[in-house]
Amino acid sequence: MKAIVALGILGMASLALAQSDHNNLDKERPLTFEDAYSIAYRSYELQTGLSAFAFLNRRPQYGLRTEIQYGFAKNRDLSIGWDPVYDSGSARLRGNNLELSYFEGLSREIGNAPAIGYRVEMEAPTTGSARNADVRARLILSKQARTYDKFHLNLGVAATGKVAFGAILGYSLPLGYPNHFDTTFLAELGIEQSRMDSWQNSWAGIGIRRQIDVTTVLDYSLRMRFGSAVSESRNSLTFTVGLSKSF
Amino acid sequence: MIALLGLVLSAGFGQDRLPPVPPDLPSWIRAKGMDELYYKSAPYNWSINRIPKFARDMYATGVGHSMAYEALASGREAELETTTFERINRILKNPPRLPVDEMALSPTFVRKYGYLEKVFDWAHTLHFQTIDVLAYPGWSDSRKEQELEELWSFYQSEPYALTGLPMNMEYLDSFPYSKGFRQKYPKVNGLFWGYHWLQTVNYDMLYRVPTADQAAQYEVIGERYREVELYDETRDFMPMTAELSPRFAKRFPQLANAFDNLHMLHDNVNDILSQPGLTDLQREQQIQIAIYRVLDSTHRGESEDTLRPNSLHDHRHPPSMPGMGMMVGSDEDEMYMSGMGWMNMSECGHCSVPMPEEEPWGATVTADGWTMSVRCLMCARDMASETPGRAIIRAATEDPKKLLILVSDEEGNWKPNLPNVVFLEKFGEHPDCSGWSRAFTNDSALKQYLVANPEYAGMPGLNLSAWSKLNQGKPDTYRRIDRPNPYKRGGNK
Amino acid sequence: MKFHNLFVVALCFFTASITSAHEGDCPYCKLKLVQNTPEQDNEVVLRFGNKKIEYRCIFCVFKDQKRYKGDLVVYAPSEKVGEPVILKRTDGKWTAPEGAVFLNSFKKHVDCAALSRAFSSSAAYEAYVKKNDLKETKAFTLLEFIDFVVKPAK
Repeated sequence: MKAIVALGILGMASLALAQSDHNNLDKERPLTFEDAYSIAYRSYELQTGLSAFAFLNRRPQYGLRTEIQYGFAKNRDLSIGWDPVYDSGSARLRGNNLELSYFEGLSREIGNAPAIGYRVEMEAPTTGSARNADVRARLILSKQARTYDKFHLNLGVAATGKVAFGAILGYSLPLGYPNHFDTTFLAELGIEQSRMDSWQNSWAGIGIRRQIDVTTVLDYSLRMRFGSAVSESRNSLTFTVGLSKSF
Repeated sequence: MIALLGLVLSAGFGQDRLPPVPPDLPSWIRAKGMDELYYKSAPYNWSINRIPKFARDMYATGVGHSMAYEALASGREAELETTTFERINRILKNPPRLPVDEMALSPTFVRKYGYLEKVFDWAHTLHFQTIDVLAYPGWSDSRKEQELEELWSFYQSEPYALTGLPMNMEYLDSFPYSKGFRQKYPKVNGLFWGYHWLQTVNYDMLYRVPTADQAAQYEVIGERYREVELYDETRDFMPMTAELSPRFAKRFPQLANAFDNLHMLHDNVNDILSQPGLTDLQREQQIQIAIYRVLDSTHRGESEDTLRPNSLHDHRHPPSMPGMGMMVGSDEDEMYMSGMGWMNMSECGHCSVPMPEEEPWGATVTADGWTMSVRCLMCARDMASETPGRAIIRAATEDPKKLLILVSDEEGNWKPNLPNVVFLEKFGEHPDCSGWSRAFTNDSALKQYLVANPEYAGMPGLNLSAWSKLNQGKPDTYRRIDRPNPYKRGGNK
Repeated sequence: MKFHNLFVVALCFFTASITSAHEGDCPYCKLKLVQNTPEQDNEVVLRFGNKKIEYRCIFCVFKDQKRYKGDLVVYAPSEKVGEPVILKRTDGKWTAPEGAVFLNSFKKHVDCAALSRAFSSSAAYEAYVKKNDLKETKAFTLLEFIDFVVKPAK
């Protein structure tokens, strides 16, 4: 746990020195929210990220999320993702579900109106240890704040027998403008309904996306979960480091 | 309804009528999507980075465009020549190592004119991919040429594509708002024309040039760009592709024309955004009309034979240069070129004898910010030696696949890309100069030529050092076109 | 210089400019180069390594000399056709043939080729001044000429 916090602080320290920006914000890379724009038409993007989940009263878990996206039409993309988790306490690998996802950007920012997009996701079980299958939908609004920074509101609904709602307020700020152009700072505040109907799941996170070459972005983040329907997840920390590559 | 409103508002603008919104404005202009497009997937992508200084300067041009547009779109035009210029200049002097998302740098501009950004972005992609193809070491010249044709088709498959037909530049620069930006904001306009100089001069630097010999040329071109072209407020008109990369423009006229039409669209947009007295709606409509004028869809089915002089559908070009529309004062092959005066594009820039139709094609000289076509090595050398500063010669050899690249220092000492290059120079009549002034890749190639051409029998081959010291003076065939600058007040139009 | 004399000299240069062969613009003042005539040389040639660069007048050469880092030779047209006054800059130091004097009396730059010139002797200078009826002129030595030309504008 201490090591993860130290790593996170180290990451943030290098952020302060880091310079500029990569602007297209994808879900889970490295925070939960995304912006209202699809990936470019005809592009593929391979995303992968390693997460470490640190808890107060149990041994850590490790996740390896991988996703491939394809911009199959203008303003639309399809993706397929998988994020198995390894529990070091039980020494078991949980396969989790395959995620199939469709995104559509309805409008860019025009005048004072925000950019609008939505995502629909379905999960398909892969193993017996996978979570229950979900259908989720997310409405996304992105809006210029001052000059280069933006707010991103993600409103979600999930259906697994019961309907649950969630909301994330995301914020992106290119660092180093107008002198440097390869780093974006991200922050989010999220809340979601648990399966027990209460608004118990809440978290905050900060992160960085940094362009390391013309087609590759390195990201890292630190998220803290304040409340959780699952007691052992309360006050847990998640450190994520990931890579996105378009081709 | 919007078109009608546009007409009414147009009539009220000053004494001149603004162009009306055309009835067949393409529907995509009003589409709400971001429509972001990925470039053509290929192994050559980002080969520009093989010439790091060039790549960085090119990336900085995107920053320069965006920052100026953001200032104009957000009502900060008063600080354009001061704060914005300084901010851009700082970037140009410390250019980014990676390409920059122009939309992220100009959010207000994109919120207002997102459709325009689609046109710019797609054409800039074409600019970059053309460079990438030419800078790619993995393919032969003929494969690259084939790919450029395919790239052009790929570009045209999107509705935002600009026409590859030559357009009449005098017409495109003749609206009530035209020329305002260059007069009111000469420093930032100088930057824009500097970017466009770089974006057009580079193609002859790369075209049919072995990739190993490309970067050395950028030492000369980059220095000129950073020290002179960006800050030149005296240029009469925007740089034209055929003016700075004549060989490329002749081979790929559709690309050269599209780049010129793009750059003219930039000038139109600058003029519209900086024109006082326009309402937001008028500004938006005039930008849409400016886009419409140069779109491929507007000219579909037309050809270079569509002759309606000095109109939207004037696609004439100088007979010897299909990659350039007619310019102010142009007459057949004669055009006025900033820094060089009047020139005839069908003739050698040094001796005025017509350029050869057959091989060897001659040479080009890049010096002092211009590029000229010349008939022979002697014309190239003497023209460069008459011009202060560093220079580049690109010349044909006996092997069509091997281009001779000579790069000079300030004193005219040349450095060749071909280590065994040998020259023939038996001074004679200029109309025959492409016969007696030539370069060969090696001594045996020269000997073969002498055997095949007995009139030069016994002529010694000159090494680079001996050849560099020659100077045959003024060609007696040179004919200066003595006409006034058509861009100056009182000049002939 | 009386107006009609200046006019004649200018007309002579103009006529030369459209009848002569190779003619560009001066790298410094951007005006057209003035070509030689059978009666008088006008072409100022600067040699810098392999470069051979023409200027409109010697004033322009000295104004523009800073751009060249190295030794220079300047062929300045004199009163004698085919016999220029040869000026050299070696290790930054300018020298001229003994006895050479210089005229620099133009009010407008368009007159520079006629009124910024080198002479092989004071006598040749006096003869030129007299022939063209020039008033209020001064015969400069090379160093005086350079000093005059490169001094900051008031």
